[in-house]
Amino acid sequence: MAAVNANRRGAAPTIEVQGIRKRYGRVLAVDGLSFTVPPGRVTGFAGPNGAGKSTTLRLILGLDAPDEGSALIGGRPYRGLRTPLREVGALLDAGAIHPGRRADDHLRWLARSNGLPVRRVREVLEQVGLAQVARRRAGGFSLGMRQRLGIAAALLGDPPALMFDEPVNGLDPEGVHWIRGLLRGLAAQGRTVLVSSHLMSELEDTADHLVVIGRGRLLADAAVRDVCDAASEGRYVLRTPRPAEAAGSLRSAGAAVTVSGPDSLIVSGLAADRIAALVTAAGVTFSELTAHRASLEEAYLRLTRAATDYTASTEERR
Amino acid sequence: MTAGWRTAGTGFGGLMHAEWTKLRSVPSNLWSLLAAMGLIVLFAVMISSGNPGTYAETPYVDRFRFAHQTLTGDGSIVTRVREQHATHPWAMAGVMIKQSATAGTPYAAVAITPGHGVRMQARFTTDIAGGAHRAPRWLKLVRAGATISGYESADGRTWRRVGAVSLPGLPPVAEIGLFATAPGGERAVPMRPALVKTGPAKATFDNISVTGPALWSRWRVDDVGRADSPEPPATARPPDDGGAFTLAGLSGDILGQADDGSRVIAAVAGSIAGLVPLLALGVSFIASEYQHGLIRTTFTASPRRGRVLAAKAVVLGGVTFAATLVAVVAAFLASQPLLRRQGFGPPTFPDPSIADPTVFRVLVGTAAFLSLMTVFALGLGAVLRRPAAAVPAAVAVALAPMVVTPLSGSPWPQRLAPLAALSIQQVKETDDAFLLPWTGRPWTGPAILTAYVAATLVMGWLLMRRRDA
Repeated sequence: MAAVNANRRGAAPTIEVQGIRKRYGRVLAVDGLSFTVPPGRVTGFAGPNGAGKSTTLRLILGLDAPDEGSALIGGRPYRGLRTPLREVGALLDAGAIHPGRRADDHLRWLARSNGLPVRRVREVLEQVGLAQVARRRAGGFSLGMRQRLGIAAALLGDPPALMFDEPVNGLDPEGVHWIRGLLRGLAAQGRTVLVSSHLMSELEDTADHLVVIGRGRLLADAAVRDVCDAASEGRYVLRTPRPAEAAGSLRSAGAAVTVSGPDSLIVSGLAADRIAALVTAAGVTFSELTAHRASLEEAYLRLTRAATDYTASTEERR
Repeated sequence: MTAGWRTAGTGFGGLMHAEWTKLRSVPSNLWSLLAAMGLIVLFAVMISSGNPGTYAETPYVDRFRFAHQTLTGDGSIVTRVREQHATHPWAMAGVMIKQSATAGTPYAAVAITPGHGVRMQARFTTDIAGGAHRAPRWLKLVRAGATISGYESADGRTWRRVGAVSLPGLPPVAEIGLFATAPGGERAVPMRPALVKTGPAKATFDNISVTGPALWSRWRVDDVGRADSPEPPATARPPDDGGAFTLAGLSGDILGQADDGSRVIAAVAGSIAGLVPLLALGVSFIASEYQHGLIRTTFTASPRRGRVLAAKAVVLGGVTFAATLVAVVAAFLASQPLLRRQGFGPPTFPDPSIADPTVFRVLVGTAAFLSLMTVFALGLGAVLRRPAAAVPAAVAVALAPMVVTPLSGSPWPQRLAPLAALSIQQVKETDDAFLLPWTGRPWTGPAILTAYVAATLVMGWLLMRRRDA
């Protein structure tokens, strides 16, 4: 599949979310959220379970109506699209298939509804690796196969913009590897790609840019590198054969110290030269003093800690 | 690879094509259609397969209680039917002139009925409708040679002629008097259950007067058509002028064998049975999408939800119409030889033709009824969304008259329910037939059902548009 639509029409559309708010009964699912998803890169959409990711995607797709704000795709609301499958491909819920319907029939009716040529059914089934089971009923599919079928449906109209909600769920390691390549490939073709996940490790190798939300609010909207840098800010790794003594002298100087290994500490609250001076003054040798590189996982946990609805501690308190 | 991309249709036609693909690609949908078709044919064949000749034996029924005098030459009888028990819509009480008190002899009568007004009848074949009145009513019968005229009146002074019949075979000396009868099973159309209570006839007459040149003034009471007639009961005292007189106790009828439409009705006997799987199909065609979350995929592909519902309605209605029409025509063709063998044959039961307007209306109308009901179930599915709620609701709403009508005894539940559209199946029957309302107005029921369908679809559309998917 080539980058047909993206190339022919010039730039792929930008997805713009502007101040959307959505309440379901007493639960405020999305609370004044704004962000944009530009073409040409993979935008990760992260947040803990219940943060409002799926709700946001449903609002973008016009399935639910926002109480406030708007979501636009290339400047138009989704409900105004005439042949939406040619504009936006979406995987929302891999289970959303009729169990009695064959895989290719599922794609065939989708193709008919948007005037897509039926040969696309065969093409996308081959692309996602389901060509062998095209005539099997979807009710017998594993979760991984359902995910692939949902991805096939998203790719059916060769759309310049794609949205995937937790696409890695249920995929085996080979499938996870495949989908990373697929997402990066789609972005490299100039398409707009939004991928949600509640697991950072999945996004770390895939996403270029990250939108992090918690309790329906925006927590971060930055390049993956910047998110990590922000989490690393002012923290240093100290490698020393006598970590306990080093930690003692640093703490007495007001630093926050965490033990990160048998011979390493993470120190924050002090400048690097001050750390070196304090440790040297205490007569402790060290082999390394570097700025700490936070993993995306770590950065994410720091971002979402305050916004997590269901943390381990609240579970324990019950 | 991109060459022909934009040429394919993406309008309402594409949407209908998508819904047709959905419909045919789920096996349970096809099984529902096949079950409906099978039940329609099966019921027609079953009801048409009886003992050979069952309905060929009796050319007429002639059984009633008759209080009579002998009239020689011209004359007349006047009475007021003061009271009549409404045991059956076709119970009759009135005045009659008959060759003799023997079943099957020529007669002419004018009578009042609880359900069909004043009727003038003769020789098992003639039936003239008078005013749509119930007792009390004055009735008069006048003989002038071979011509018998019937009259009715509200007060015994102003008379309205109901009709006149000619009885050339009537001898100068004949029996004239009062009669009463009420059908037991005689009036039932064999192919269609009746919605009537039956019971023995009871009617009270007063203001009785017989005039004639040579009148044998002795009254006799006979149970015509009963060889084993019991002693006439005490209430059957001979009438005296001016006083009240009651005829009671016998059930029977005066009826020639006539084409009751059985040759056509049998083909659609499976309408209700076939309806049930179609209701399930109609509901699940949309509710199963909600059940599996598929509705989100549908609305993602087609954000204009009203068009989705419209496409579903058109495709579902068209497919069920075509399928049930095939089944009904097959049932009609399969039942004809079986019905003839059972005795429903010419001359009384002429061979029906599909080209006959009535036959055409019944067969095509039944398919239309079934497809409209299926779309009605679709509308309910759109409103209720959960199959577990919507399927029982659709069956309950659709079949309610089957339970309510016999319990209430009122014809209105079957006239106003969606099932009223069965009136399109009228051939010769009346409102007395179970689930066959709107006598003489076969198109009223389908109009009512169409209103129900439109209302549920509009409600479903409004809710769909407003609700989050």
